[in-house]
Amino acid sequence: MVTVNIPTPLRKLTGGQSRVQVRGTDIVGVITELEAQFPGIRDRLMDETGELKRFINIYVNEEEIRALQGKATPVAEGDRISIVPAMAGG
Amino acid sequence: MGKLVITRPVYEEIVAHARAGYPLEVCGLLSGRRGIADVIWRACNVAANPRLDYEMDPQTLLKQFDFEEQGQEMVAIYHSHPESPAYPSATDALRAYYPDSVYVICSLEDADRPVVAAFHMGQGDAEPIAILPSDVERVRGRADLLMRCFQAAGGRPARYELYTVADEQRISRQIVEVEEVEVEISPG
Repeated sequence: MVTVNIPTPLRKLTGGQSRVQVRGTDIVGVITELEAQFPGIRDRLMDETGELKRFINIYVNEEEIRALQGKATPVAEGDRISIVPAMAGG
Repeated sequence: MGKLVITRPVYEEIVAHARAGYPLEVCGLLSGRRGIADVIWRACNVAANPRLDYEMDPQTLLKQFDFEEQGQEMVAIYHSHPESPAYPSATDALRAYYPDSVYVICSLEDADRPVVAAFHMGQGDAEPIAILPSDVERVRGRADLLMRCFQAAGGRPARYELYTVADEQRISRQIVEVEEVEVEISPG
């Protein structure tokens, strides 16, 4: 199991939970498991082409997956995944 | 109108951070308990063009989870407007991904009279549209973004209609409602 930190904008979908446990061997698998438990969450993370939305950052422990293998980044037992929408503007 | 309570030391530190970063935008987080912001976390602005934009660095972004482990909560996200008013810009509205959070803006438009104001921004879903309205304006510094804004009393935008144009056939519109939040400074 891996632990997934859920940011405040997505907690309406997780029943208010800020941290959930899921199974998965990579980020795609984690998102699939999240969707199974919390329907609708995948559409908040992925666009219609199946890619991560530009403003969604996902960290495995403290490394952003775009610097690793993207949505194919493997995850291991005990890893901490953090989903973090960008804080940005102008 | 909702209310945000900031302690005096945090308020002064927001202004100090904005001044230290001038003419670039600065950003950070405010944390606290029971809705009172009593701790400030300066972030690094990692935007490609920090004179016009801000983007919070990853280490600070991840702090939102640490706050909760320490019995605190993320109260607000702040950034500065070195040369424009303390009001959300179209880019602020486009990137308001935390609808339940308060966005604090410190303006140094009048360097001798900094202004700190706070807002909620609620984004609707982006929807495809067939025709671009004729009265849209281009957003400064953004080749891909046009807008219309609708003003409330006092002439300040209360709603943005944001239009992104991918090509002539693919236009999408997103409506963002802006609600001002009263700022109360507590002695701290």
